[in-house]
Amino acid sequence: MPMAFLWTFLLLLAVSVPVVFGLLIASGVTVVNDLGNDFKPRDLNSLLSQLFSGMSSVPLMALPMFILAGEIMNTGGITARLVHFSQTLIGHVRGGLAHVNILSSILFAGLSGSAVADTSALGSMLIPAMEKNGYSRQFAAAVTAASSVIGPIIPPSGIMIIYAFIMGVSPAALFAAGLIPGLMIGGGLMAVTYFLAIKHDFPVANERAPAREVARAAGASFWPLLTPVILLGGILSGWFTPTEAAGVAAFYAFFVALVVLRTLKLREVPRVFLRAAVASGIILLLIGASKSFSWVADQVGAAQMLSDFLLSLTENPLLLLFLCNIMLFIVGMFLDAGPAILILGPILGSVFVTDLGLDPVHFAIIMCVNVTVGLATPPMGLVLFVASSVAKVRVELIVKSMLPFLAVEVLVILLITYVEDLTLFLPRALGLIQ
Amino acid sequence: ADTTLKIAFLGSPDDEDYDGSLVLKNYVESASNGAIEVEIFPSGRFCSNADECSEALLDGRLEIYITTNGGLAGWYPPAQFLDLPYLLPNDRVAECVFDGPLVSKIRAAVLQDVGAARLMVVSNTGGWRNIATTSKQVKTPDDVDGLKLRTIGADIQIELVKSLGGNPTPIAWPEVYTSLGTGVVEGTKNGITDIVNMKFQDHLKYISLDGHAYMAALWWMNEDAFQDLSPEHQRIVYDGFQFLKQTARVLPMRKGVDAFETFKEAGGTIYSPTAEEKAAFQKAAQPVWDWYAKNFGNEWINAAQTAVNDCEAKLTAEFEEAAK
Amino acid sequence: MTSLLLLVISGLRRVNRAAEEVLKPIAWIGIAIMLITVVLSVFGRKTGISMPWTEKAFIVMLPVSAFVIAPIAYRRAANVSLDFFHDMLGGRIARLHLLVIHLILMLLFLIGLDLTLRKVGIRFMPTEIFLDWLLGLDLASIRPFKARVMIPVINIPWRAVYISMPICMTLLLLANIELIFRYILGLIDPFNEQVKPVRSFEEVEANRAE
Ligand code: NA
Ligand code: NA
Repeated sequence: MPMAFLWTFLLLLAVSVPVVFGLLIASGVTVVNDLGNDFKPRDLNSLLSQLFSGMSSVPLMALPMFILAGEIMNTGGITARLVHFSQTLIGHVRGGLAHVNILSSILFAGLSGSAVADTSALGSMLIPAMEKNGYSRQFAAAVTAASSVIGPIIPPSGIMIIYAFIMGVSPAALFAAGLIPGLMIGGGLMAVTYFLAIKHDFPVANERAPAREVARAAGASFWPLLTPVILLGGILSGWFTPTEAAGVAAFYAFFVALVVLRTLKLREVPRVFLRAAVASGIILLLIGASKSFSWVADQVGAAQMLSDFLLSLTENPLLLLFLCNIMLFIVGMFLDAGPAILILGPILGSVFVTDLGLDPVHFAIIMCVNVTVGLATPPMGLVLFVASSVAKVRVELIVKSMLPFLAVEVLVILLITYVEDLTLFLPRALGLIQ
Repeated sequence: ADTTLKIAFLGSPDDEDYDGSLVLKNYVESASNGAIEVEIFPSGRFCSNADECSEALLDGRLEIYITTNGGLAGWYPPAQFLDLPYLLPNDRVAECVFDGPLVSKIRAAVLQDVGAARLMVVSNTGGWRNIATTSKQVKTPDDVDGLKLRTIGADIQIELVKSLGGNPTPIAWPEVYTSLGTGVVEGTKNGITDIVNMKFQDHLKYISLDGHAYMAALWWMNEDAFQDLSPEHQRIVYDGFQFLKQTARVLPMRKGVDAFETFKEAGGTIYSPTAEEKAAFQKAAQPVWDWYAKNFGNEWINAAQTAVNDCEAKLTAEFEEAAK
Repeated sequence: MTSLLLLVISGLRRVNRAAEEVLKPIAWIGIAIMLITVVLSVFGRKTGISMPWTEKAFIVMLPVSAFVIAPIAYRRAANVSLDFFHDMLGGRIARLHLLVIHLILMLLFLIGLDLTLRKVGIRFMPTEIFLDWLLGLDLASIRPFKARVMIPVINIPWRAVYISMPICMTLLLLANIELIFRYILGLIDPFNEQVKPVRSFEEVEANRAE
């Protein structure tokens, strides 16, 4: 039973065993079950080794640092300034607050690498505001959830750091490659909102803001909005590596919130840092556990089996990519983005990059965008859960309102799958890949 | 099969380590009539970094593993003498040294001090370490002054860059390409095949063939795994390693020919330091030798220099015999 | 019976809370040190001061920080899981379900404790005998790891870093036993005050804000 590791894991997952422990138990069971053939008892030690070395790597340092940067910005009242700035820019259009929600997500994406942070930060502000403005609460939650997946697609991105780490791709190239797809999703969502606004006669949020107020709002978000400029400028001019950029972002956010804006109090610092430590500790352990799991999968030859299976269906790479998208989308419905990347990345990577010769950065973006959109699809979508708990609306209702937005996101996934230049143009132009 | 021997290394199947392993596998499996099976795990598939793989080897989870000089330093620190800058003058002397009594001395010392691993053979992985730079040709040690050079996180590599006046900068391997492009670092100390495999020639424009280190690959076998073999099987495995060594030594040289060509086609310049410039490099690197002697004494330095001198004499005698 | 359970639970809760109070400052100061280290290495390179030790600091601090967080995260149920199945179950069955899951996790943590102790060179007979008997694992065949592998540049043996693992496993087990006793109590006396789940991080935060 060569796929025992997978069935055991799925079973454990289904009966609500936490993912991280499910991965470890399934790996251990596979070794014990197969003792004397592929494995010896001391291979249990290899699982432990993988768990440890999976976390012990320099590029992963970006993960806690970006999480820290996000925590600081959430605490430091930076979100409110971004929303106000968006409002002065686009609040006067029909469907104003829905557009504001999306635009804020795009701006926020340049500072934060996490969709969940986006949902909870923007959702808790904008969902009540939209409801007061006459939108249904479920629609407000749907816009929030759908647009917050932009967070990890526009750089910086926690998911891409994980991917870059396990697949040995340059994180800078992934960051650059994510920009255009992220903006496409943002643009697409605003287009849908535009038509929905006409159809349902959505309200405008405010009068067109006078230029002076736009300038004032821009000034108030000036320091936070400088973050992406500093990050990109710093990376491209050789001041720091993409990994170090995460630390620089956290340091900059800390400095701005504590000294410039004074929105972060010194006595709050331990709490903010602890929250970042908890969030990153949980993800790190998950990364380590999935390394153990991938190790077992590799020892029993799972990648080869999957690759043989896929290639037996068709040898047409375009069709295979389509199948891959469907598979990722389904996986994204059940698994969180991080675990999905960690578990499937190495296996699918060996099929599409090694066997079929797809560009590793292109494939990385297909995979990252897919699992990120999966964050907002039922039944298992972290963004959806957070939106539901912030808006206090049942998940099913949010999903119903979200269908047109999901359609746009699927369309973008297909576009970037088949038009390679949408992802590769920017990293090539910047000299980050060949 | 009665016995399975697992070989793991971090290099990809394009690496000479893989070719060598294939030759070992083929010989051992057929000579033992299938009693011994050999499994190869390239690309860090069994263990993903040098220290983790070393632990797997010493732990007996992994039967065969190949360390670089730097990797061995983790569990047998005196072995860093192998990376002493300009210790070995050229491939012929290096190969002679690694076929000679120095290998037995390392084997015995590690069996004595660590116990769990037996040195089988020493081959080469990637040729020689040279100084390659993005914007300025390095001809003398003075040219290294203030240069940010990417090094691996090993003491002796760091000491060397410091001695030459440069700024040693550890950068994770997947980020080296970008870092060379943006200027986070201004050069590396890699072998030519690694440079070309990673397409560093997009950014690296100058190589100075200072040849400060021979990129030795030390093949280890877990001691219990070796002792568990019957004497006949031990001999088969030993012979297999000899064939592996021949394969893995020849390939870097052959691949180097193409790689240098690729580098030049990409607009790169290759510079061979003159005898005086080489001497200047050697002199500038003297603090590294002092650093080593201070930490580990002179025993290995003396042994290595004796081996080099003996080999030089032997090779000269061979030449004189042939040219008579 | 109930009063004995209550005694054990309150004792374990006190121990686990004390551990949490020790781990929390380690965790947030650890993050702060990572932040300072990154800034130092960027600044150092720009000014020509080389700090090759920084990358070694990261490969040590990342896994250790995860092992510091693991026991608190586990006790406060912060790890991601799919909860549909559990949410379908009601009352007593739901409690029984959690009890079974945490009993399975107890085995995982026991194996983890045994293996991580071996990793730092210690053979721990109680777990070895128990697990070999229960699961037929033959842990006895895994020799404690004695070789000394050093982290270059900073010259610390890996073993010193690995000590964080058995400590983590011990704390996970202590949290695990507290949770198990709570679920057992929940089966016997569902209305007892101690049956309520351990508060999550969000609840702790919300209470602080009030
Ligand atoms: Na982002
Ligand atoms: Na949003």
